[in-house]
This record gives sequence, C-alpha cells and structure tokens, in this order.
Amino acid sequence: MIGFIAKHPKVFYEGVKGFMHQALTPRIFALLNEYTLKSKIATLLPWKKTGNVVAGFPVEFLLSLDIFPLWPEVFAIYAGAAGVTQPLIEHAESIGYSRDLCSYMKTSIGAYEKKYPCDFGGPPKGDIYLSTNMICDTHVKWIENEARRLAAPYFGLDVPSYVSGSDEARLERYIDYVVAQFYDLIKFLEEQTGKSFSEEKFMKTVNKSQEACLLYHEIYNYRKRLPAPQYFEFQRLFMLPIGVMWNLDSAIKYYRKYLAKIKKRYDHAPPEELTGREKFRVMWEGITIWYKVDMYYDLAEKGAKVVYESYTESVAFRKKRTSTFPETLRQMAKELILTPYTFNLENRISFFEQKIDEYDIDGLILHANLSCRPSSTGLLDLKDAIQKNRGIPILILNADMDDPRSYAEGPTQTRLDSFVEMMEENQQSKK
Amino acid sequence: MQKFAYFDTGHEFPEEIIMAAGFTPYKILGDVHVGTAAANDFLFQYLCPFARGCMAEALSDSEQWAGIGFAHGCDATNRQFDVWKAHVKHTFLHWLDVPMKINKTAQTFYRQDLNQFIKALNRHFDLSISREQLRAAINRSNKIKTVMKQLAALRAEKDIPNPDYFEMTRMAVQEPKEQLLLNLEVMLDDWQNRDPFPKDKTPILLTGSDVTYKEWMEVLEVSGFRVVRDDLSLGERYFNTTIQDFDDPVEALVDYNCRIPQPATKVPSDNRMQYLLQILDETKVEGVILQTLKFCEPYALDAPWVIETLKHHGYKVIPLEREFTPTLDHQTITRLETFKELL
Ligand code: SF4
Ligand code: SF4
Repeated sequence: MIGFIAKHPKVFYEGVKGFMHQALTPRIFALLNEYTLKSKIATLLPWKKTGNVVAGFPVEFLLSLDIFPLWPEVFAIYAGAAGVTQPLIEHAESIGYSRDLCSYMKTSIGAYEKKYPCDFGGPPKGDIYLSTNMICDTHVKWIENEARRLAAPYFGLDVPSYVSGSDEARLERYIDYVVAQFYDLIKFLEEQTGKSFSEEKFMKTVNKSQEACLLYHEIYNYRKRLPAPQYFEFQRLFMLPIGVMWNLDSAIKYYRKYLAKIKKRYDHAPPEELTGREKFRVMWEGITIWYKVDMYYDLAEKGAKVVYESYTESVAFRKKRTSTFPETLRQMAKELILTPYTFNLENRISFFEQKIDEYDIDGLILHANLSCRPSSTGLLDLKDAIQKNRGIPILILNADMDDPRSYAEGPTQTRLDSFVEMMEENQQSKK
Repeated sequence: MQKFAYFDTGHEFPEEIIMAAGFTPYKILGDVHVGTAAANDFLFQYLCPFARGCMAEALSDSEQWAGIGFAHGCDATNRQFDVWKAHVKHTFLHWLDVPMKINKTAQTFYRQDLNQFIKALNRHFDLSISREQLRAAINRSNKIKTVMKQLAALRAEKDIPNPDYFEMTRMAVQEPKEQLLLNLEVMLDDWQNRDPFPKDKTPILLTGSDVTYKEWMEVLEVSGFRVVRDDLSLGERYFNTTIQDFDDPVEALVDYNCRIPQPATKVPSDNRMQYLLQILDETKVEGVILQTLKFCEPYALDAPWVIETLKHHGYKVIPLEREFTPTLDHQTITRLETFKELL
C-alpha cells in the first residue's frame, strides 16, 4: 500500500475521498477493511490457500477446506465506489478488451496490470480460480482467462438456465446436474489442497452461512416498513459481509446486532417515534451505479428513496435451513438455479409484482446497464408488464455500474426529475 | 418437408434429431438486409445484433416453421429464449441446455437433455422417433459433413471465392438435407475443376464471431484475402467431425458433442486454442483475421488471449470489430489492405 500511495498519491487521495463519501457506517467500514487486509495477508501466507471466485459461486465448499475467498468483483466494486475506475478500464481497453465488455472485469484487469492493491480494484493472485455461468458468460471467461494467465487451476460450474415455461421435472433434472458437479468440485478442491473434504465441517459452514443469510433476510424484510430502516446507498455496502462470506462468524455477529437494533426501533418503539412513510418508495432493478452515490442522495432529497433491489436480496443465497448433507447439496443447487436476480422473464414479472405490493412501491427504475447484457435482456417486457399490471411510473436508466464514461449527468438528472414528477402525479391522481 | 428452425450460437444443436422427426433443420441466421428493427422493440440495441436479427426473422417467419429449438450457447440464447417465448408466434418452442463443459458429468446431463427433447417432439407431433430413424439421419449427416470437408479443403488449392464458401456453409444448415447432398456433390465436381489458387490472393485463417452473411466475406475478397481455414461454427467446426456409429444413437450424439471443435462459449477454452493451432499447423496461411461482431461477448472476451497466443506462435493477426451490416465497410477494407501489405 505504501508503494502504491507513493506512486499514485492523487489516485489514493481521490479514492479515499470517494470512498468516504459513500453511505458507510464505522462498522461496515471496519468490516470491509478487515476483509481487504485479510485478503492481502492470506495471499502472503505460504500455507494458506486462496481461491478467486465470482458472485453466485458456492463459497462454503472453499471455506470448509480452509480456502480463503478472494473476490475480484468486490475489489472492482471498491474501485467503483472510490471513483478510480476510468483509467483502469481504459488500460484494459488498450490491451485489447472491447469498449462494450463488462466494466467490473476491465477494472479488475486494469488494476491487476497496474499493480493496484485490492482496496483499489487489484485482485491478489489466488491459488485456484472458480466461476460459474449462473449469471453471465463474463464470469466464466474472465476468471478462466485470469487462471490461464497466471497458470493457476480453474474450475467452472455449469448452472443450466431455468427458462420461462420450465417445469418441476426440469428443475429436478437441473438440480441433479448441479449436485453432480458439486462432487466434481469437491474432488477438485481436495486435489488442490491435499486435504480431505469433511461433510461435518462443510455442514457447520453451511449452517453458519444459512444463519447469516437468514438474519440478512430478516433485516431486509424490515425495509417493507414505513419508513424503511435503510436505503439502497447503504444496502449496497451492507450486503458485502454476506456477499463475500470471508468470515461468517463476524457476519453473523454484525447482522445479529444490527437486527436487534432494528427490532428495538420497529417492534418495541412507540409508534410516534416512527416518522412515517417516505414520500416516494422506489424499487431498483440492476446493479447499482457505484461511482455515483450522489445520484441516490439527490433522489432522496426529492423524496424518492430506494427501498428494494432484487440483487441486494439475491446476494444472500441461503434461504432455508437444511440438516443433512444430501438435502443441503440439493437446496444449494436449487438456490443457484432459482435466484431472483437471474429469474426467467415469467418468474421475474410475477416476482416484481409481488415485491411492488409487499414494499409498497411508487416507482421502478430499471438500470439498462451497458456493461451487463444478461441483466438488460427482458427489461422492456418487464417494463410493459409492470406498467400494465401495476400502473406505476417506470424509468429506464442507461448507465454503467463501474464506468463513469457511460453516465451523462445532465440528461440523467432531467430524466430522474421527470420520474419523480410522474410519481407525484400518480399519487395525486390516486387521491 | 416443413422447416424446424433453431437458434444456436454455436454448432451444437442436434440437427439429426430434427431430421429423424421428419423435418428440415433450419438454422436461423437472421437477414442482415432486413436488419434488426422488428426485434428492437423487445431487445436493447446494445445487445448482440446477430441475435436481434434472428429474432426479427422469427417474428416475421415463425408461422412457417413447425417448431423452434434453442441450444444453450452464449448469454443471448439463455436470456432471449424468454423474450421469444413472449413474442414469437410458435406452437412448439424447446430449450435444450447444451452443457458448458464436456466432461463425464456434463455428458450424463446432456444425454438426459437429448432424451427429453426427443420425448417432447414425440409428444407434441405425435411421433415415435426410432433408433433406426436417428441412425439414418446420422448417416446422412455424416455424408454431408464428409463432402463439405472435401469442398473446404479445396479452398487452399483452387479459386474458391470467400462468398462461395460461405454459401456452401449456409446451405448446409438451411436447406433440405436430401437435396443438399446432391447439390454439394455437384459443387464438389465444379470446385475440383476450378482454376488454381489465384496468385494475387493471400491465404488466411478466419476466426472470431460467426460470419452470417456473405457481404462480409466479400469484404475479405475485395481486400485480397482468401479464407483457406476457419474456426467458425458456420464453417469448419460444423463439418470437422463425423458422428460415430454407436448402437445407441443418442449416445453417439453425446459423444459427438464432446469431440467437435469448441466455440468460445465452452469451458475449458483451451480446447478451442488447441484446435486453432492444429489447423494452423495443417494448412499454410499468411495471417489470421480475428473479427468480432459488435456486442458479441464470448469472442471479444477471448480476443486478447487468442491474439497473444497466436502471435507468440509466430502468426500475424489482425483484430477487427464489425457491425451487423451488408454495407462494404471501406475503413475495414483499408485496414485489411494495409495488413496484406505487411504480410
Ligand atoms: S456486471 Fe453483468 S456482465 Fe459483469 S460480471 Fe456482473 S453479471 Fe456479469
Ligand atoms: S454473435 Fe456472439 S453474442 Fe451474438 S449470438 Fe453469436 S456468440 Fe452470442
């Protein structure tokens, strides 16, 4: 880090400033720092194995074999939140990656090439590389390319697509396939670590991740309350401890304490202490815009608070307690195949309608993310269906989660203003 | 015989099952002259234009098709299936989740997937596809692939313009198979009697996104290049391998899927590189043209690695990005001409 600061003092200064501008609490800040520090230490310890993974990968297999998870995507998020991605993305483009490819990946590649520390996007070199196509092709190719470049072993987990119209029989078949691959994964991990996989240890790990996820979901549900306890600008950071799963004990501790605080506020406080409903309750689909937290602050100033996002909910994969090893594998496979962020269009529409009702939503923002073609597919149908069935204003926002070149300040502000006006009109017409 | 259309970003869709069911397999390639406008109402313009072109074709022609099949390939297939299901008129639409890998676990899954596909066809069209029918289809398919391979080999020796080769590969995936075999045989006779390889043309290998319209092959032609080898699904990958004669034809199709040259959507991608290096070793070329269609992620994601590896092996490579348009792009032609001079 000292070398990085000496070499890039301006990047460091701007990055810290950008990061501190985020909706951080001291505890979240400490947890994230702890993760980056442990990531750096883990890669230095010769006896410690590390594995580079992507969103959705069932990390519990790694944890149960003492493999420390490194998340290039999360480090790219740090760089995005710090507002330092553009030169990194441009660097990746200068070595041949297209302007149209995912900006997380390009941030990560640029930061690695420029030897940035993980706090600023640079993924440490892992011992093994693992990814899955459950969300996108990019995850697979990004991580496989990294593994090849660093001559590290790679494992790809193939998760079939549960497309619209699929039935239960198909789901069972897909679960069988993913479970069979879990056994391949165990074999791979045993070979890489020289350790024997222990079902008992694995179950202990999964039980912890289930507990952390269930706590997270319990907290999440409080966002249905009026007013919600937390909004997107905070939720996007709040999800990281369960997202990275680097230390399930500390995640459980943190969420448990947090839940107690919320319960106190919502379940035990006198009603007059709850200040009432937000003027506009907004739902957001797609990845957040990391470098533009001001956009959320501005929206909030206009009375529009983002209270639900399918991806911050999806990030906590474990939704059900399980007790036996076979049952756990099947449940985990199911959670990979059926996660809200990758729901097929038919399920996505009904899921959104349900969430709009549950969270009492006034308007929906669909992030047409220029980096993320998979999540952008189907958005037009989603928009039409929601407009027809729920009649709330919907804004399609063209931007990019990590590439500030795709964010047009003026036009975006104008569109957000008219979105807020539409919600206002909609509310008036209902009165 | 009615067409059964399929959307496959690679060359994995089991045409033989469709043939055994009594339909003509028809690979949807979109029509670059018509464009993507009809699909743009449902798909953003920053999604792969080829895939949008396929949807546009389906929106206009699907009523002539007995059914539509999707093979799992890139994100375009996985996600757009749902959009097609909502908007493209169909009576039979099937999702075939061709696995991303080719190991034993994937093979077991794929075998079930193929059997489910056969069951679905039988049920919907009131058929009973037999082993014999499947084996007969495999036999015909192998004959086609064998002639295509002979034809393709002539590119390095004879005067076979790029659009002619393209037309041969297009016919193979769109025209009725019985007639196709006869046409290919006539074509073989013609190509064998063509003039020798023209001196003013430079032999190259073409890789990257599939080229799905002949105008882009024309761009290479006017720039002075001849594609003598290719790493394309609408190309050599389709006919490189024949299907083995197993007792169980489904097993033969599973085995075939593991042995075919892999597109960029499969893991491990080293298989793709091995194949590239192998064909470069087999045929003398002076350079490699690596083109990616705008917004085509699988090939764009592989591009830096492919370029670096081929250069490392001493090959000269030019990367190009192209739009989905039949217009001859003069900027690309100029770049290609400069590349030709360098060679
Ligand atoms: S942003 Fe989209 S394309 Fe990029 S890694 Fe995430 S899901 Fe994949
Ligand atoms: S051109 Fe590329 S992105 Fe488009 S369908 Fe084919 S493989 Fe997929």
